[in-house]
Amino acid sequence: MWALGLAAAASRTSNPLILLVIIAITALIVAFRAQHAPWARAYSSALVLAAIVVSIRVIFGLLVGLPLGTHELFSLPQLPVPDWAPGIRIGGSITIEQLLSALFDGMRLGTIIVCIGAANALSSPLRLLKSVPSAVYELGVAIVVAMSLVPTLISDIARVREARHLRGRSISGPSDVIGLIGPVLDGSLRRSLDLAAAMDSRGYGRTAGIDRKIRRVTNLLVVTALVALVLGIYGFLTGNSTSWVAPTMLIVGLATGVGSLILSGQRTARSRYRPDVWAIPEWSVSISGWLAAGSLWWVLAHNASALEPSFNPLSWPPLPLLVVAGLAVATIAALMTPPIPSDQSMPMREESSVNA
Amino acid sequence: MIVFRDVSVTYPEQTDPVLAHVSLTIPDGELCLVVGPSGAGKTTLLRLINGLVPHFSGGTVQGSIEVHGRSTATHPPRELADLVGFVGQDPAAGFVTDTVEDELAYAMESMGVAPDVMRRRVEETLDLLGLTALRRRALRSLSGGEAQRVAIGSALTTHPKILVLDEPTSALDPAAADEVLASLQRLVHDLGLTVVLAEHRLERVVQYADRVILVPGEGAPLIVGEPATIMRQSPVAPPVVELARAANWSNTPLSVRDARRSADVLREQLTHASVSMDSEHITKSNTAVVVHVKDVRVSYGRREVLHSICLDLHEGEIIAVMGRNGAGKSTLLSTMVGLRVPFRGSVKVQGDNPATLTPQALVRHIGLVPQQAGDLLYAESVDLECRQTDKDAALTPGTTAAMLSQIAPWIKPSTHPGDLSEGSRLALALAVVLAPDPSVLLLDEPTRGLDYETKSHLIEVLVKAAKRGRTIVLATHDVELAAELATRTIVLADGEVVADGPTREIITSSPMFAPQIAKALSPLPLLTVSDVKAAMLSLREPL
Repeated sequence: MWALGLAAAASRTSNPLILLVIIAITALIVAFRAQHAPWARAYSSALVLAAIVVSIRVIFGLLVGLPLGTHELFSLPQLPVPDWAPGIRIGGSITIEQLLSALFDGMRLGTIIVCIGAANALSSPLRLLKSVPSAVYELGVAIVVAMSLVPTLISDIARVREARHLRGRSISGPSDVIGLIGPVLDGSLRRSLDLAAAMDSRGYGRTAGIDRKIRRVTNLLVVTALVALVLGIYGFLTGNSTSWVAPTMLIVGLATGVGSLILSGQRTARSRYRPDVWAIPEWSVSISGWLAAGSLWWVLAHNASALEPSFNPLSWPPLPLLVVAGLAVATIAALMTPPIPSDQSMPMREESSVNA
Repeated sequence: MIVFRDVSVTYPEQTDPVLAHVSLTIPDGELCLVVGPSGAGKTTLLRLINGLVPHFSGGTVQGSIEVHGRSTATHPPRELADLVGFVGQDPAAGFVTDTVEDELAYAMESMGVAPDVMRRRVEETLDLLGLTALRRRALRSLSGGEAQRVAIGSALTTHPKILVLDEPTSALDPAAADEVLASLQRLVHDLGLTVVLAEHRLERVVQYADRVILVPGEGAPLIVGEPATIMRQSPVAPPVVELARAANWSNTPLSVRDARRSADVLREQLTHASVSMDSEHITKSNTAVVVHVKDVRVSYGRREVLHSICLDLHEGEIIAVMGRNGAGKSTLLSTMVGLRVPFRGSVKVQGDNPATLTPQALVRHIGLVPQQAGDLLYAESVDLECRQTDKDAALTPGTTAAMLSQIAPWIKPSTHPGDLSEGSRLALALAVVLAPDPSVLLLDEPTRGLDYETKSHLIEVLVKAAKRGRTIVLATHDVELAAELATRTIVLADGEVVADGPTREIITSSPMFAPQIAKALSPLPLLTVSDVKAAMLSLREPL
């Protein structure tokens, strides 16, 4: 929740300084709190992904786009564009303004990715599942299983590579890499079938004699709620859509969501083992994240220019104090909460350090 | 109660049924052992019980199967989950959550068990299977045996009436296997649980069984009966049974205890026999050193797995590396082959560092068959796999295929490696590694999932290789294999060598690693049935 708040904050600004601050905060928290678990690597891969997104955005922004600004850096040969597409240009002169606006825009997206990566690194997707209402539980399991495929794929590739090495083949050319894909995919397919069989034989998806009608209605409500919520949140975050759409959708989504939860509550087929308690630390962390987002909204409403760096004239972007204060609260709250009891999979060996 | 009525199973794209006209009743509270050669249909039989066949495998099932009155044709596995607990061959493949405790609770959550009951059952199961120390561990960090125990535990927490296990002890060290089997027996006794399990390592299980189902394979009818009756005629039998056959006893002992009580006369006789077997197990310390491991320390992350290992392996030796699950056996092997680089110390194979050799040179120096033998295979068919190996190692075409027909002649060249049974896949991987004739051969758990016949083929091939001066290292839990094959045994504990010496000395000195014959005939230094036969022969011949 905390990370989502930061992501929401990031989506509303393209001020590079604020974005950098947000990235730094997530890095700090991940460094302090990440556990030694497979999903903890999510953060670094999110960083890489963000960098790729930024560079793609910059390249496209430079090559294709509307001419903007006057400070020319250098010029590329311009491709002739057919008459039916006025205003679009490929190549041509490149200005600082263009470069920066593309860079900042890319950074906005990049920061959102990093925030989500941090959320991933800080808690296991399976822990998240414990807080999911039981109506969407089965859908949730499917998503989590799909998500856990990625780390497994990576370790599979390593294993197949080792096996190749043992058989006297070196992996050098791209054709060898393509040759790896076959066994890896084959293996993961077989494993998914095994997993599905295991889950089925342990009662996953039991329906414990519930009325078919109620089940259909519940499912319909859940889907409607999800679609409405997604549309509503999208409208709210981008601020593009007409004023009434976003709130209406949010209200519709919430209403159907609550309805489906009540209905599915009758379905007592599932129970929870040691559910995660949502107590004061959890609340304070997620509220602090949203506080950061709220501070941005407030600044946006009163002083919009602070969040959109100006290109005309070129100037150093300002750093609004209130926003920084909001982000600082988020950091401190996240650091103050007690750490999640980490698993003891990596016991330290005291004697080894003495011997060394 | 499980009732099979005239059941036949045919998988898609196959003409012959795997199982034909099976009629069978398994009463409540029985421990029922399913035996038979690799690929005979044992797994299919087990998966029929909870409906995984045909709901997951496809194929057609004729006849009917009823489990406590529910037909598996109309009830998919999830609707049988409260009756039947199922543990597959690879326990790690069936893990859904990511920590031990959650995994134990998972099936109960699906079943809708009340939270306080769940809490209590998780604690009970942790105690029952000795998992308390592991409760918060990530499932990925568990060793094979630990994972197996967690998988059994998570099938038990729902208190099923029937527990179905596919080779539950094949990945376990002897002590862990005893523990698991003892707790299964307790469940049968105390709770009236019905247990159906398939197992190749008869010596571990047969003494606990109430009934044995022999699956001969190729659609032949099943043979069902009392363990002693079946064992007397079975082509596969544990060493104590073979001992009874060799000594012409009238009864068939199933456990070491039975055998020891029947063996008084034999033991008396053999004390007078000149046991001169030690001459054949010559120590090879005078031959050339092939692998030189010097002060090697290996760590995974912050955890040190091997501490200062020093070993010299000689030409022509067959070395068994034993030790409990997670002692560092696999790590030692992969360090020798250069897949792990020690942070201190060095490994030299015939003077070269294996980590810096090119793969092409490596396969001629040293070969490793990993625990997941299937990883080595990637071609579309067995035949292509063999030809690829010939090409990679620049061998005369046909070498690998010839090697394969020596180890496992029944494998059809057109099969996809993924469709082979566990044992056949291992045999193929072995052939692939053995074909370039490396001077050192490392095998990680080579007899896992192998039936006795395949195992004896394997022993033959390995002995031949050792006679040619090849060095063979086996990391294994199979004491019978070590007793039969190894000239030298190394025991690892917690990443350190705790014992290293001639096999005879090491394994008779420890009750945990002693093979059945040694236990039955102690204090005589006889390890295998062939030892006993030789001793009896020497008695008959005048000295």
